[in-house]
Amino acid sequence: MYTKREFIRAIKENEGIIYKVARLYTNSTEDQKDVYQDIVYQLWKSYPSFKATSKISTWMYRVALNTAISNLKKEKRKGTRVSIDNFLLNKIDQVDTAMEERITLLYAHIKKLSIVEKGIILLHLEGKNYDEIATITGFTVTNIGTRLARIKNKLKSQINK
Amino acid sequence: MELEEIKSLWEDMSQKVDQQKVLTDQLIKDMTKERFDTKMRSISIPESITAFICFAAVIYIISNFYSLNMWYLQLTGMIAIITCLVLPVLSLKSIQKMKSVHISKSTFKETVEAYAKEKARFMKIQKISFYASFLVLIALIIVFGKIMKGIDVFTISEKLNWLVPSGIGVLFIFSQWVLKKYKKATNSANDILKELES
Repeated sequence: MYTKREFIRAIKENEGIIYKVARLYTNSTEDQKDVYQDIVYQLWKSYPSFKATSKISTWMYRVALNTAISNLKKEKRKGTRVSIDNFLLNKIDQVDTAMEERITLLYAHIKKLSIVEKGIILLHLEGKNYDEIATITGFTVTNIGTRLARIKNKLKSQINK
Repeated sequence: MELEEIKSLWEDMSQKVDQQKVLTDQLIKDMTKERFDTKMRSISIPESITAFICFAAVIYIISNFYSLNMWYLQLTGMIAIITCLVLPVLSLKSIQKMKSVHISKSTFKETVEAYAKEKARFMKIQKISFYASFLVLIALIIVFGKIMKGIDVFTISEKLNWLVPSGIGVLFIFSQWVLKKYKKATNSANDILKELES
C-alpha cells in the first residue's frame, strides 16, 4: 500500500517533469498553473495503480503527458485552483534572465510542433532512449526513430528560418 | 540555435529546475485535495443549469399541452419537448465521454487518438446543437406564444411575410460561420489522426 508520504517524496523528486510538461502544452501562465495542478492531482489519483516494476519517472511522464493532452479540450472548464505562486512556474527567471530568454525561444520552437511531436521531442531531450520513449508513448521503437528524424529536420528548418 | 544547442540548453534548464525544489508537502496535499472538489463543480454547474432550464420548459409545455388546440401547434410542441430533452442529454454524454480517458493506463498515443476523436465528435455535436437550438427557439416562440398569450403564430400571415425570410437570412449567415469553424476543427482533428498512422 502506497502512502501519501511516499507519493509526496516521489513528486518532490520529480517535480521538474511536471513543470516541463505543463509549460510545453500551455500558452499562458494561468493555463500552466491549471495543468501543473491537474498533473499533480492525476498522479495522486492514479498512484495506487502504479506498479513498482517500472521506473516512477516513466509512469510520471505518461500521466503528465496524458493529462496535458486531456486538458487541451477543457480550456473553458476550469474551476478555482490552489494558489500557486508565480515563482513556481518561473523557476529559471529568478536565476538567470538571459537563460530564461533562450529557454522561452526554445519552447517557442518546440511549441510550433504538433502535439505528438512535442511529446516525443520532450522525452528525447529528457534523455530517454528509444525503448523508453516507445514504452511511454505506445509507438514502436522503429516508428520513434523515424518520427525523431522528422522532428529534428522540422526543428532545424524552423530555427534556420 | 542549433539542435545540439537545444539539447544542452534543455539539460541546463533541467539542472536548474531540479536544483530548485519549490514544491512543499502542504502544497502537494492542497493540490490533491482541492482539485477534486473544484473539478467536479466546474463541470457540473453549466450543464446542470442548461439541463434544468430545458427540463423546466418541457414540464411547462406538457402541463399546458391542452392549450395547443391545433394539430400543427401540437406537432410544434412535440418538437420543442423532444429537442429540449435531447440537447442536455447530448451535452452530458459528451462530458461523460471526455472523462472516460484513463490517464494512468492509456499510452500517449491512445490519449492523443482519443483527444482527436473527441474533438471531431464534439464539433459534430456543436453543429447539431447549433441547428437544433434554432429549431427549439422557433418552436418555443410558437408554443409559448400560444400558451401564454393565446396567439397562433401560423395565422398571422402579414408578420410571417418578413419574419420567415429574415430568420432564414440570419440562420444562413450564422451557419456559414459555424460550418467554417466546424471544418477547421475537424480538419485539425483528422490531421492528428493521420499523423498517428504515419
